[in-house]
Amino acid sequence: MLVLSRQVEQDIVIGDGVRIKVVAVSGNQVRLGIEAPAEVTILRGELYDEIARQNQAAAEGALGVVEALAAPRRP
Amino acid sequence: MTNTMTPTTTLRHPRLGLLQIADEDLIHLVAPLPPFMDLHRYVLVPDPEEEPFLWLQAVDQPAVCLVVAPHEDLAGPAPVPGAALREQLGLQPDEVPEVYVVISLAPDPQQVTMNLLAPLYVCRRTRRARQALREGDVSLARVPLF
Repeated sequence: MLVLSRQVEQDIVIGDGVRIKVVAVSGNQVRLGIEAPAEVTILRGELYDEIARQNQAAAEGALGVVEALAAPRRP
Repeated sequence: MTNTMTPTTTLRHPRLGLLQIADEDLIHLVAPLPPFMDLHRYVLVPDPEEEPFLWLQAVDQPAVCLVVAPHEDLAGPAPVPGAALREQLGLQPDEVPEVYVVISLAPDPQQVTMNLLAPLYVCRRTRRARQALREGDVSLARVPLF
């Protein structure tokens, strides 16, 4: 992993279209401003990881438990 | 799903057995489903016994097989796709994509969930699809279905 030190108002550039600026630092929280092309998905890491986990769980759970879907659906 | 005149791909579905998929029914994911980053070719297979659920089956890895259902049927109207997504799918100005939610099955029906954070948008005409990951409460990724 590349590790860089930045101060408030300084930024980094990734590729041709992504710029990430340090907007503020308060305690152990950092606020980032991100400029990126519209087609680039920007998510908090924990959300991306959760979606990946849910897709994995969906693939694993799909095999052999289809009968669960036969139960009455929530209104 | 096929006729004898169209090129086909054969795959073995874990539940439905051997399937002949017409190439015109293949769907290309313009961005892979995390964590299946090497898989771009899928097919949506209806299961007559489990309507309205469908199988989202990876063509190149039979073990990757997810259950999806129309967003409208389970969770109401889907979020309107933004301009970038519309362009990626090749949607025409007035064209409406199909939208599905991914279902996580479990032996206990009370633990079956749907992922409302990442609907799957499909343009049948261009055969392009993308799971649109969006910001929101993490609990929306596992909303109980029942």
